Amino acid sequence: MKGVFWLVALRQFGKNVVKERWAYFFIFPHFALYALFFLVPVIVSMVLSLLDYQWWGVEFVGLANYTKAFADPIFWKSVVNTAYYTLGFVPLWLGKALVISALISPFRKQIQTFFKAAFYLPHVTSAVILSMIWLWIYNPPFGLLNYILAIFGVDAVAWLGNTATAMPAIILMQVVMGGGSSIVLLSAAMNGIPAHLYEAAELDGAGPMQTYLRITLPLLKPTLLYLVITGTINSFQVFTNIYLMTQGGPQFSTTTMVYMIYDSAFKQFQFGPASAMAMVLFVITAAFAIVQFRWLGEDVEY
Amino acid sequence: MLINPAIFAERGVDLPELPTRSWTFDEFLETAKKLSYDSDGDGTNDNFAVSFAASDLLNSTAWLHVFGGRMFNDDETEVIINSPEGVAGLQFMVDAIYEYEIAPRGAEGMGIYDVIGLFHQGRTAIGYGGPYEIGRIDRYVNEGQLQDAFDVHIAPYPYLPEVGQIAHHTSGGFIVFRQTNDEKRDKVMEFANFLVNAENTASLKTLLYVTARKSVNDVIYEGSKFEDEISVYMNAIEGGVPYFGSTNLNFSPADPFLQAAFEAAFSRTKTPQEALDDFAREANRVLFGS
Repeated sequence: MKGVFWLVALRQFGKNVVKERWAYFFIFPHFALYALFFLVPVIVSMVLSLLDYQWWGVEFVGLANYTKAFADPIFWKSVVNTAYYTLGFVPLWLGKALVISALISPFRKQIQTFFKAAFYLPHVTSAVILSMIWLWIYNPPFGLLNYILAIFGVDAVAWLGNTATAMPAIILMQVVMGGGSSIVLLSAAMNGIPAHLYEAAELDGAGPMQTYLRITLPLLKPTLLYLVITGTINSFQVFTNIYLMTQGGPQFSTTTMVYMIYDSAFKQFQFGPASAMAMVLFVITAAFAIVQFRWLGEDVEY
Repeated sequence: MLINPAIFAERGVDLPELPTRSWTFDEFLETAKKLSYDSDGDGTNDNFAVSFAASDLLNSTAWLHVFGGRMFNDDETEVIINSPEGVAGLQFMVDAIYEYEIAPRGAEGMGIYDVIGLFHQGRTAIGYGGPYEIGRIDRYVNEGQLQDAFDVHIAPYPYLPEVGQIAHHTSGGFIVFRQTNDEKRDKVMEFANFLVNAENTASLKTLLYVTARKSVNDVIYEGSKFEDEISVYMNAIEGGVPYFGSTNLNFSPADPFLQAAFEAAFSRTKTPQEALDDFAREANRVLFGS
Protein backbone atom coordinates (compact mmCIF):
# COMPACT_ATOMS: atom_id res chain seq x y z
CA MET A 1 0.00 0.00 0.00
CA LYS A 2 2.82 2.35 0.97
CA GLY A 3 4.69 1.48 -2.25
CA VAL A 4 1.65 2.36 -4.33
CA PHE A 5 1.35 5.72 -2.58
CA TRP A 6 4.94 6.62 -3.40
CA LEU A 7 4.52 5.46 -6.96
CA VAL A 8 1.48 7.71 -7.41
CA ALA A 9 3.25 10.65 -5.76
CA LEU A 10 6.32 10.17 -7.97
CA ARG A 11 4.16 9.97 -11.08
CA GLN A 12 2.34 13.15 -10.08
CA PHE A 13 5.66 14.89 -9.45
CA GLY A 14 6.89 13.79 -12.89
CA LYS A 15 3.74 15.15 -14.49
CA ASN A 16 4.17 18.46 -12.69
CA VAL A 17 7.78 18.74 -13.81
CA VAL A 18 6.76 18.15 -17.44
CA LYS A 19 3.87 20.57 -17.15
CA GLU A 20 5.98 23.31 -15.55
CA ARG A 21 9.15 22.44 -17.45
CA TRP A 22 9.90 26.01 -18.51
CA ALA A 23 9.59 27.27 -14.96
CA TYR A 24 12.00 24.54 -13.78
CA PHE A 25 14.28 25.30 -16.71
CA PHE A 26 14.56 28.95 -15.70
CA ILE A 27 15.04 28.35 -11.98
CA PHE A 28 17.54 25.54 -12.54
CA PRO A 29 20.68 27.74 -12.89
CA HIS A 30 19.89 29.58 -9.67
CA PHE A 31 18.96 26.38 -7.86
CA ALA A 32 22.13 24.64 -9.06
CA LEU A 33 24.30 27.47 -7.71
CA TYR A 34 22.25 27.60 -4.50
CA ALA A 35 22.67 23.86 -4.04
CA LEU A 36 26.37 23.96 -4.84
CA PHE A 37 27.32 26.93 -2.70
CA PHE A 38 24.74 26.70 0.09
CA LEU A 39 22.94 23.38 0.49
CA VAL A 40 25.97 21.17 -0.07
CA PRO A 41 28.24 23.18 2.30
CA VAL A 42 25.51 23.18 4.96
CA ILE A 43 25.14 19.39 4.72
CA VAL A 44 28.92 18.92 4.69
CA SER A 45 29.19 21.22 7.70
CA MET A 46 26.55 19.17 9.54
CA VAL A 47 28.57 16.03 8.88
CA LEU A 48 31.87 17.73 9.79
CA SER A 49 30.41 18.81 13.13
CA LEU A 50 30.27 15.13 14.10
CA LEU A 51 33.82 14.35 13.01
CA ASP A 52 37.35 14.93 14.24
CA TYR A 53 38.60 16.09 10.88
CA GLN A 54 42.38 16.35 10.59
CA TRP A 55 44.63 16.26 7.57
CA TRP A 56 45.98 12.88 8.64
CA GLY A 57 42.60 11.26 9.16
CA VAL A 58 38.92 11.46 10.03
CA GLU A 59 37.21 10.01 13.08
CA PHE A 60 33.55 10.00 14.12
CA VAL A 61 33.24 11.68 17.52
CA GLY A 62 29.49 12.13 17.88
CA LEU A 63 28.57 15.28 19.78
CA ALA A 64 32.07 15.83 21.21
CA ASN A 65 32.62 18.93 19.06
CA TYR A 66 29.43 20.45 20.44
CA THR A 67 30.50 19.64 23.99
CA LYS A 68 33.87 21.23 23.30
CA ALA A 69 32.26 24.38 21.89
CA PHE A 70 29.82 24.70 24.80
CA ALA A 71 32.67 24.26 27.31
CA ASP A 72 34.67 27.08 25.73
CA PRO A 73 34.09 30.39 27.59
CA ILE A 74 35.15 32.34 24.51
CA PHE A 75 32.37 30.69 22.51
CA TRP A 76 29.78 31.96 25.00
CA LYS A 77 31.42 35.37 24.93
CA SER A 78 31.07 35.31 21.15
CA VAL A 79 27.35 34.51 21.49
CA VAL A 80 26.90 37.46 23.88
CA ASN A 81 28.96 39.74 21.61
CA THR A 82 26.91 38.74 18.58
CA ALA A 83 23.70 39.49 20.45
CA TYR A 84 25.18 42.82 21.63
CA TYR A 85 26.12 43.73 18.08
CA THR A 86 22.69 42.75 16.73
CA LEU A 87 20.76 44.59 19.44
CA GLY A 88 22.94 47.65 18.95
CA PHE A 89 23.07 47.65 15.20
CA VAL A 90 19.61 46.63 13.95
CA PRO A 91 17.55 49.32 15.76
CA LEU A 92 20.02 52.11 14.90
CA TRP A 93 20.38 50.96 11.28
CA LEU A 94 16.62 50.71 10.84
CA GLY A 95 16.03 53.97 12.71
CA LYS A 96 18.48 55.74 10.45
CA ALA A 97 16.78 54.29 7.36
CA LEU A 98 13.34 55.37 8.62
CA VAL A 99 14.49 58.91 9.40
CA ILE A 100 16.34 59.35 6.09
CA SER A 101 13.42 57.88 4.09
CA ALA A 102 11.00 60.23 5.85
CA LEU A 103 13.27 63.23 5.27
CA ILE A 104 13.74 62.61 1.55
CA SER A 105 10.17 61.52 0.78
CA PRO A 106 8.78 65.09 0.37
CA PHE A 107 11.35 65.87 -2.37
CA ARG A 108 10.66 65.40 -6.05
CA LYS A 109 11.72 62.13 -7.62
CA GLN A 110 15.11 63.24 -9.02
CA ILE A 111 16.27 64.58 -5.68
CA GLN A 112 15.04 61.43 -3.92
CA THR A 113 17.00 59.35 -6.43
CA PHE A 114 20.12 61.42 -5.75
CA PHE A 115 19.89 60.84 -2.01
CA LYS A 116 19.06 57.16 -2.41
CA ALA A 117 22.09 56.73 -4.68
CA ALA A 118 24.28 58.67 -2.24
CA PHE A 119 23.24 56.51 0.70
CA TYR A 120 23.56 53.36 -1.40
CA LEU A 121 27.11 54.21 -2.44
CA PRO A 122 28.84 52.50 0.52
CA HIS A 123 27.08 49.28 -0.55
CA VAL A 124 29.04 49.17 -3.78
CA THR A 125 32.28 50.08 -2.04
CA SER A 126 34.56 47.30 -0.87
CA ALA A 127 34.21 46.48 2.82
CA VAL A 128 38.00 46.36 2.91
CA ILE A 129 38.29 49.98 1.75
CA LEU A 130 35.62 51.12 4.21
CA SER A 131 37.38 49.29 7.03
CA MET A 132 40.73 50.84 6.11
CA ILE A 133 39.18 54.32 6.16
CA TRP A 134 37.55 53.72 9.53
CA LEU A 135 40.72 52.20 10.93
CA TRP A 136 42.36 55.51 10.09
CA ILE A 137 39.49 57.48 11.62
CA TYR A 138 39.76 55.43 14.83
CA ASN A 139 43.56 55.25 14.89
CA PRO A 140 44.74 56.17 18.40
CA PRO A 141 47.86 58.29 17.73
CA PHE A 142 46.94 59.96 14.44
CA GLY A 143 43.26 59.21 13.71
CA LEU A 144 40.75 61.81 12.57
CA LEU A 145 38.36 61.26 15.47
CA ASN A 146 41.01 61.78 18.15
CA TYR A 147 42.34 64.77 16.21
CA ILE A 148 38.90 66.43 16.34
CA LEU A 149 38.45 65.53 20.01
CA ALA A 150 41.89 66.95 20.82
CA ILE A 151 40.69 70.36 19.55
CA PHE A 152 38.15 70.27 22.39
CA GLY A 153 40.77 69.13 24.87
CA VAL A 154 39.62 65.50 25.01
CA ASP A 155 42.39 62.92 25.50
CA ALA A 156 43.04 60.37 22.77
CA VAL A 157 41.00 57.18 23.02
CA ALA A 158 41.99 53.80 21.60
CA TRP A 159 38.53 53.29 20.12
CA LEU A 160 39.21 49.80 18.85
CA GLY A 161 41.57 48.91 21.69
CA ASN A 162 39.26 49.57 24.60
CA THR A 163 36.79 46.87 25.63
CA ALA A 164 34.14 49.50 26.38
CA THR A 165 34.40 51.31 23.04
CA ALA A 166 35.44 48.68 20.48
CA MET A 167 32.01 47.14 19.80
CA PRO A 168 30.18 50.50 19.85
CA ALA A 169 32.82 51.80 17.41
CA ILE A 170 32.17 48.88 15.04
CA ILE A 171 28.40 49.39 15.37
CA LEU A 172 28.72 53.13 14.72
CA MET A 173 30.77 52.48 11.60
CA GLN A 174 28.22 49.98 10.32
CA VAL A 175 25.29 52.30 11.04
CA VAL A 176 26.95 55.27 9.33
CA MET A 177 28.00 53.24 6.31
CA GLY A 178 24.96 50.95 6.15
CA GLY A 179 21.30 51.47 5.46
CA GLY A 180 21.50 52.12 1.72
CA SER A 181 19.33 49.22 0.63
CA SER A 182 16.88 49.69 3.50
CA ILE A 183 16.47 53.38 2.54
CA VAL A 184 15.72 52.35 -1.05
CA LEU A 185 13.17 49.74 0.11
CA LEU A 186 11.49 52.03 2.64
CA SER A 187 11.34 54.93 0.15
CA ALA A 188 9.71 52.64 -2.41
CA ALA A 189 7.23 51.44 0.22
CA MET A 190 6.48 55.03 1.28
CA ASN A 191 5.87 56.06 -2.32
CA GLY A 192 3.42 53.18 -2.58
CA ILE A 193 1.20 54.49 0.22
CA PRO A 194 -1.97 55.97 -1.40
CA ALA A 195 -1.97 59.79 -1.33
CA HIS A 196 -5.64 59.93 -0.37
CA LEU A 197 -4.81 58.57 3.07
CA TYR A 198 -2.55 61.55 3.75
CA GLU A 199 -5.16 63.93 2.31
CA ALA A 200 -7.81 62.49 4.62
CA ALA A 201 -5.49 62.79 7.59
CA GLU A 202 -4.72 66.39 6.72
CA LEU A 203 -8.43 67.19 6.45
CA ASP A 204 -8.94 65.60 9.85
CA GLY A 205 -6.29 67.95 11.26
CA ALA A 206 -3.46 65.45 11.80
CA GLY A 207 0.04 66.97 12.10
CA PRO A 208 3.13 65.58 10.32
CA MET A 209 4.18 63.48 13.31
CA GLN A 210 0.71 62.02 13.79
CA THR A 211 0.49 61.25 10.07
CA TYR A 212 3.83 59.52 10.18
CA LEU A 213 3.03 57.48 13.29
CA ARG A 214 -0.59 56.61 12.41
CA ILE A 215 -0.39 56.16 8.63
CA THR A 216 3.16 55.82 7.33
CA LEU A 217 4.63 53.50 9.97
CA PRO A 218 1.72 51.01 10.11
CA LEU A 219 1.68 50.74 6.32
CA LEU A 220 5.43 50.16 6.26
CA LYS A 221 5.12 47.12 8.55
CA PRO A 222 5.61 44.45 5.86
CA THR A 223 8.79 46.17 4.66
CA LEU A 224 9.95 46.73 8.23
CA LEU A 225 9.34 43.09 9.06
CA TYR A 226 11.43 42.02 6.09
CA LEU A 227 14.22 44.45 7.06
CA VAL A 228 14.23 43.41 10.73
CA ILE A 229 14.53 39.73 9.81
CA THR A 230 17.18 40.16 7.11
CA GLY A 231 19.01 42.75 9.22
CA THR A 232 19.08 40.39 12.21
CA ILE A 233 20.30 37.47 10.10
CA ASN A 234 23.02 39.65 8.55
CA SER A 235 24.03 40.95 11.97
CA PHE A 236 24.40 37.44 13.29
CA GLN A 237 26.80 36.84 10.42
CA VAL A 238 28.94 39.94 10.93
CA PHE A 239 32.54 39.12 10.07
CA THR A 240 34.38 41.27 7.51
CA ASN A 241 34.74 44.43 9.60
CA ILE A 242 35.59 42.45 12.70
CA TYR A 243 38.26 40.53 10.82
CA LEU A 244 39.74 43.64 9.26
CA MET A 245 39.47 46.04 12.17
CA THR A 246 39.79 44.22 15.49
CA GLN A 247 40.48 40.54 14.86
CA GLY A 248 38.03 39.84 17.66
CA GLY A 249 39.87 41.99 20.21
CA PRO A 250 40.42 43.74 22.49
CA GLN A 251 40.22 40.93 25.02
CA PHE A 252 37.62 39.11 22.88
CA SER A 253 35.16 42.02 23.21
CA THR A 254 34.42 41.94 19.45
CA THR A 255 34.77 38.20 18.92
CA THR A 256 31.51 37.35 17.19
CA MET A 257 30.26 33.86 16.38
CA VAL A 258 31.29 33.97 12.73
CA TYR A 259 34.71 35.35 13.60
CA MET A 260 35.07 32.54 16.15
CA ILE A 261 34.07 29.99 13.49
CA TYR A 262 36.61 31.48 11.08
CA ASP A 263 39.31 31.48 13.74
CA SER A 264 38.65 27.85 14.69
CA ALA A 265 38.43 26.60 11.11
CA PHE A 266 41.02 28.61 9.22
CA LYS A 267 43.52 29.68 11.84
CA GLN A 268 43.41 26.69 14.21
CA PHE A 269 42.33 24.16 11.53
CA GLN A 270 39.74 22.77 13.95
CA PHE A 271 37.08 22.06 11.35
CA GLY A 272 34.93 19.86 13.59
CA PRO A 273 34.40 22.35 16.44
CA ALA A 274 34.06 25.18 13.88
CA SER A 275 31.30 23.26 12.10
CA ALA A 276 29.58 22.57 15.41
CA MET A 277 29.61 26.30 16.18
CA ALA A 278 28.28 27.00 12.68
CA MET A 279 25.38 24.63 13.34
CA VAL A 280 24.63 26.39 16.64
CA LEU A 281 24.64 29.73 14.80
CA PHE A 282 22.32 28.27 12.17
CA VAL A 283 19.84 27.13 14.84
CA ILE A 284 19.98 30.46 16.73
CA THR A 285 19.51 32.49 13.53
CA ALA A 286 16.63 30.32 12.34
CA ALA A 287 14.96 30.50 15.76
CA PHE A 288 15.26 34.29 15.83
CA ALA A 289 13.87 34.60 12.31
CA ILE A 290 10.86 32.39 13.18
CA VAL A 291 10.17 34.25 16.43
CA GLN A 292 10.44 37.63 14.73
CA PHE A 293 8.22 36.53 11.88
CA ARG A 294 5.56 35.17 14.24
CA TRP A 295 5.75 38.04 16.71
CA LEU A 296 6.15 41.03 14.43
CA GLY A 297 4.11 39.53 11.62
CA GLU A 298 0.97 38.99 13.66
CA ASP A 299 -0.80 42.13 12.43
CA VAL A 300 0.98 42.60 9.12
CA GLU A 301 -1.31 42.77 6.13
CA TYR A 302 0.16 42.11 2.71
CA MET B 1 65.08 46.53 15.00
CA LEU B 2 65.18 49.33 12.45
CA ILE B 3 66.55 52.74 13.32
CA ASN B 4 66.14 56.01 11.46
CA PRO B 5 69.59 57.69 11.53
CA ALA B 6 68.17 61.06 10.44
CA ILE B 7 66.05 61.33 13.59
CA PHE B 8 68.99 60.23 15.74
CA ALA B 9 71.09 63.00 14.16
CA GLU B 10 68.32 65.56 14.51
CA ARG B 11 67.98 64.79 18.22
CA GLY B 12 71.78 64.74 18.67
CA VAL B 13 71.80 61.11 19.75
CA ASP B 14 74.60 58.73 18.82
CA LEU B 15 73.76 55.59 16.91
CA PRO B 16 74.73 52.32 18.53
CA GLU B 17 78.14 51.50 17.19
CA LEU B 18 79.21 49.12 14.47
CA PRO B 19 80.16 46.36 13.91
CA THR B 20 77.29 44.93 16.00
CA ARG B 21 75.34 48.09 17.03
CA SER B 22 74.47 46.22 20.20
CA TRP B 23 73.26 48.34 23.11
CA THR B 24 72.44 47.58 26.70
CA PHE B 25 68.92 48.14 27.93
CA ASP B 26 70.03 51.18 29.98
CA GLU B 27 71.70 52.71 26.91
CA PHE B 28 68.57 52.07 24.90
CA LEU B 29 66.28 53.65 27.49
CA GLU B 30 68.47 56.73 27.78
CA THR B 31 68.51 57.05 23.99
CA ALA B 32 64.76 56.47 23.72
CA LYS B 33 64.02 59.29 26.17
CA LYS B 34 66.09 61.69 24.05
CA LEU B 35 64.33 60.57 20.89
CA SER B 36 60.86 61.22 22.33
CA TYR B 37 59.67 64.82 22.44
CA ASP B 38 56.76 67.22 22.28
CA SER B 39 56.85 69.03 18.95
CA ASP B 40 53.76 71.21 19.28
CA GLY B 41 54.20 72.36 22.87
CA ASP B 42 50.93 70.92 24.20
CA GLY B 43 52.72 69.21 27.07
CA THR B 44 52.59 65.65 25.77
CA ASN B 45 55.03 63.84 23.55
CA ASP B 46 53.97 63.38 19.93
CA ASN B 47 57.22 61.97 18.56
CA PHE B 48 58.46 58.76 20.05
CA ALA B 49 61.36 56.36 20.15
CA VAL B 50 59.33 53.19 19.57
CA SER B 51 55.77 51.95 19.37
CA PHE B 52 53.99 48.80 20.44
CA ALA B 53 50.92 47.06 19.08
CA ALA B 54 48.87 44.51 20.99
CA SER B 55 48.10 42.45 17.90
CA ASP B 56 51.75 42.46 16.79
CA LEU B 57 52.49 39.37 18.85
CA LEU B 58 55.96 38.81 17.47
CA ASN B 59 57.51 42.18 18.30
CA SER B 60 55.57 42.61 21.54
CA THR B 61 56.64 39.18 22.77
CA ALA B 62 60.23 40.13 21.98
CA TRP B 63 60.24 42.64 24.84
CA LEU B 64 59.24 39.94 27.31
CA HIS B 65 62.21 37.91 26.10
CA VAL B 66 64.56 40.89 26.40
CA PHE B 67 63.88 40.74 30.13
CA GLY B 68 64.51 36.99 30.27
CA GLY B 69 60.93 35.76 30.01
CA ARG B 70 60.42 32.52 28.13
CA MET B 71 57.17 31.20 26.76
CA PHE B 72 57.66 27.55 27.79
CA ASN B 73 59.52 25.49 30.31
CA ASP B 74 62.43 23.43 28.95
CA ASP B 75 60.39 20.39 27.94
CA GLU B 76 57.62 22.55 26.45
CA THR B 77 54.87 21.17 28.65
CA GLU B 78 53.86 24.40 30.35
CA VAL B 79 53.51 28.10 29.51
CA ILE B 80 55.64 30.08 31.96
CA ILE B 81 55.77 33.55 30.41
CA ASN B 82 54.09 34.89 33.57
CA SER B 83 57.43 34.48 35.32
CA PRO B 84 58.88 37.56 37.09
CA GLU B 85 61.08 38.16 34.02
CA GLY B 86 58.17 38.06 31.59
CA VAL B 87 56.12 40.33 33.83
CA ALA B 88 59.06 42.76 34.06
CA GLY B 89 59.15 42.88 30.25
CA LEU B 90 55.46 43.69 30.00
CA GLN B 91 55.75 46.19 32.84
CA PHE B 92 58.50 47.95 30.88
CA MET B 93 56.20 48.22 27.84
CA VAL B 94 53.42 49.73 29.96
CA ASP B 95 55.89 52.11 31.62
CA ALA B 96 57.31 53.02 28.22
CA ILE B 97 53.86 54.26 27.24
CA TYR B 98 52.61 55.90 30.43
CA GLU B 99 55.67 56.72 32.53
CA TYR B 100 58.63 57.29 30.19
CA GLU B 101 56.38 58.40 27.30
CA ILE B 102 58.77 56.90 24.78
CA ALA B 103 55.95 55.03 23.00
CA PRO B 104 52.54 56.36 21.93
CA ARG B 105 49.35 55.56 23.78
CA GLY B 106 46.71 53.42 22.10
CA ALA B 107 48.93 50.36 21.69
CA GLU B 108 45.97 48.21 22.74
CA GLY B 109 44.19 49.20 19.51
CA MET B 110 47.15 49.10 17.18
CA GLY B 111 48.50 46.52 14.76
CA ILE B 112 51.78 45.97 12.97
CA TYR B 113 50.84 48.30 10.11
CA ASP B 114 50.26 51.13 12.58
CA VAL B 115 53.76 50.50 13.91
CA ILE B 116 55.18 50.48 10.39
CA GLY B 117 53.16 53.60 9.53
CA LEU B 118 54.49 55.53 12.52
CA PHE B 119 58.05 54.59 11.60
CA HIS B 120 57.57 55.53 7.94
CA GLN B 121 56.06 58.88 8.91
CA GLY B 122 59.05 59.64 11.14
CA ARG B 123 56.81 59.68 14.22
CA THR B 124 58.93 56.94 15.75
CA ALA B 125 62.69 56.68 15.42
CA ILE B 126 62.83 52.93 15.88
CA GLY B 127 60.80 50.26 14.10
CA TYR B 128 60.94 46.53 13.83
CA GLY B 129 62.18 44.08 11.25
CA GLY B 130 65.21 42.97 9.36
CA PRO B 131 66.87 44.15 6.15
CA TYR B 132 63.81 43.10 4.15
CA GLU B 133 61.95 46.06 5.71
CA ILE B 134 64.35 48.41 3.90
CA GLY B 135 62.93 46.94 0.70
CA ARG B 136 59.42 47.76 1.92
CA ILE B 137 60.32 51.46 2.10
CA ASP B 138 61.42 51.50 -1.56
CA ARG B 139 58.34 49.50 -2.54
CA TYR B 140 56.00 51.93 -0.74
CA VAL B 141 57.70 54.90 -2.44
CA ASN B 142 57.25 53.23 -5.84
CA GLU B 143 53.61 52.46 -5.05
CA GLY B 144 52.98 56.03 -3.90
CA GLN B 145 52.24 55.01 -0.31
CA LEU B 146 55.25 56.88 0.99
CA GLN B 147 56.52 60.21 -0.27
CA ASP B 148 60.26 59.87 0.22
CA ALA B 149 62.61 57.02 0.87
CA PHE B 150 64.85 57.38 3.90
CA ASP B 151 67.92 55.63 5.23
CA VAL B 152 67.43 52.84 7.71
CA HIS B 153 69.96 51.00 9.82
CA ILE B 154 69.59 47.67 11.52
CA ALA B 155 70.19 47.24 15.25
CA PRO B 156 69.59 44.35 17.61
CA TYR B 157 67.11 44.53 20.48
CA PRO B 158 68.74 46.05 23.57
CA TYR B 159 70.02 43.49 26.01
CA LEU B 160 70.22 43.05 29.74
CA PRO B 161 73.70 41.79 30.69
CA GLU B 162 72.22 39.03 32.85
CA VAL B 163 70.01 37.82 29.98
CA GLY B 164 72.09 38.40 26.86
CA GLN B 165 71.20 39.21 23.28
CA ILE B 166 67.89 37.91 21.98
CA ALA B 167 66.20 37.70 18.61
CA HIS B 168 63.33 35.72 17.22
CA HIS B 169 64.36 32.31 15.99
CA THR B 170 62.00 30.61 13.60
CA SER B 171 62.09 28.64 10.43
CA GLY B 172 59.97 28.18 7.42
CA GLY B 173 60.12 26.33 4.17
CA PHE B 174 58.55 23.73 1.99
CA ILE B 175 57.47 20.36 3.27
CA VAL B 176 57.93 17.46 0.92
CA PHE B 177 56.41 14.17 1.93
CA ARG B 178 58.41 11.05 1.24
CA GLN B 179 57.91 10.18 -2.39
CA THR B 180 57.76 6.65 -3.73
CA ASN B 181 56.80 7.80 -7.19
CA ASP B 182 59.95 8.40 -9.29
CA GLU B 183 58.36 11.09 -11.41
CA LYS B 184 57.17 13.06 -8.36
CA ARG B 185 60.60 12.68 -6.72
CA ASP B 186 62.28 14.08 -9.83
CA LYS B 187 59.86 17.00 -9.90
CA VAL B 188 60.56 17.75 -6.24
CA MET B 189 64.30 17.79 -6.91
CA GLU B 190 63.78 19.94 -9.98
CA PHE B 191 61.82 22.42 -7.85
CA ALA B 192 64.48 22.39 -5.13
CA ASN B 193 67.19 23.08 -7.71
CA PHE B 194 65.08 25.88 -9.16
CA LEU B 195 64.78 27.53 -5.75
CA VAL B 196 68.54 27.63 -5.24
CA ASN B 197 69.63 28.37 -8.80
CA ALA B 198 71.90 31.35 -9.48
CA GLU B 199 69.09 33.59 -10.65
CA ASN B 200 66.95 33.06 -7.56
CA THR B 201 69.91 33.35 -5.24
CA ALA B 202 70.74 36.69 -6.91
CA SER B 203 67.15 37.86 -6.46
CA LEU B 204 67.55 37.43 -2.69
CA LYS B 205 69.88 40.37 -2.88
CA THR B 206 67.27 42.63 -4.46
CA LEU B 207 64.82 41.73 -1.69
CA LEU B 208 67.51 42.08 0.98
CA TYR B 209 66.73 38.60 2.22
CA VAL B 210 69.37 36.50 3.87
CA THR B 211 69.81 32.79 3.49
CA ALA B 212 70.14 30.22 6.24
CA ARG B 213 73.62 29.46 4.90
CA LYS B 214 75.81 32.25 6.29
CA SER B 215 78.63 31.79 3.78
CA VAL B 216 76.20 32.57 0.95
CA ASN B 217 75.24 35.89 2.58
CA ASP B 218 78.90 36.88 2.86
CA VAL B 219 79.28 36.42 -0.88
CA ILE B 220 75.97 38.00 -1.91
CA TYR B 221 76.30 41.23 0.07
CA GLU B 222 80.10 41.71 -0.04
CA GLY B 223 80.80 45.29 -1.14
CA SER B 224 77.09 46.16 -1.15
CA LYS B 225 75.91 49.36 0.58
CA PHE B 226 73.91 47.04 2.81
CA GLU B 227 76.94 45.00 3.86
CA ASP B 228 77.04 46.53 7.35
CA GLU B 229 73.30 46.09 7.84
CA ILE B 230 73.42 42.46 6.82
CA SER B 231 76.40 41.91 9.11
CA VAL B 232 74.58 43.53 12.07
CA TYR B 233 71.50 41.47 11.31
CA MET B 234 73.40 38.20 11.04
CA ASN B 235 75.09 38.95 14.35
CA ALA B 236 71.78 39.91 16.00
CA ILE B 237 70.07 36.66 15.12
CA GLU B 238 72.87 34.70 16.78
CA GLY B 239 70.88 35.06 20.01
CA GLY B 240 67.83 33.48 18.44
CA VAL B 241 65.12 32.19 20.75
CA PRO B 242 61.98 30.45 19.47
CA TYR B 243 59.52 32.83 21.14
CA PHE B 244 56.53 30.56 20.51
CA GLY B 245 58.17 27.19 21.10
CA SER B 246 59.70 24.70 18.74
CA THR B 247 58.21 23.89 15.37
CA ASN B 248 56.67 20.69 16.84
CA LEU B 249 54.32 22.84 18.86
CA ASN B 250 51.30 24.59 17.37
CA PHE B 251 51.06 27.84 19.31
CA SER B 252 48.27 29.37 17.25
CA PRO B 253 45.37 28.34 19.59
CA ALA B 254 47.01 30.54 22.24
CA ASP B 255 47.46 33.56 19.92
CA PRO B 256 44.13 35.26 20.77
CA PHE B 257 44.84 34.93 24.50
CA LEU B 258 48.31 36.44 24.14
CA GLN B 259 46.85 39.36 22.19
CA ALA B 260 44.22 39.77 24.93
CA ALA B 261 47.00 39.92 27.54
CA PHE B 262 48.78 42.72 25.67
CA GLU B 263 45.49 44.56 25.16
CA ALA B 264 44.64 44.29 28.86
CA ALA B 265 48.07 45.46 29.98
CA PHE B 266 48.36 48.30 27.46
CA SER B 267 44.90 49.59 28.34
CA ARG B 268 45.73 49.12 32.05
CA THR B 269 42.57 47.13 32.65
CA LYS B 270 44.85 44.50 34.17
CA THR B 271 48.30 44.71 35.72
CA PRO B 272 51.06 42.99 33.69
CA GLN B 273 51.08 40.22 36.30
CA GLU B 274 47.32 39.66 36.02
CA ALA B 275 47.39 39.85 32.23
CA LEU B 276 50.16 37.25 31.92
CA ASP B 277 48.71 35.03 34.65
CA ASP B 278 45.39 34.96 32.77
CA PHE B 279 47.20 34.30 29.51
CA ALA B 280 49.28 31.46 30.98
CA ARG B 281 46.17 29.83 32.44
CA GLU B 282 44.24 29.99 29.15
CA ALA B 283 47.26 29.02 27.05
CA ASN B 284 47.94 25.98 29.24
CA ARG B 285 44.27 25.05 28.86
CA VAL B 286 44.12 25.31 25.06
CA LEU B 287 47.62 23.96 24.38
CA PHE B 288 47.97 21.25 27.00
CA GLY B 289 44.47 20.75 28.39
CA SER B 290 45.69 21.64 31.88
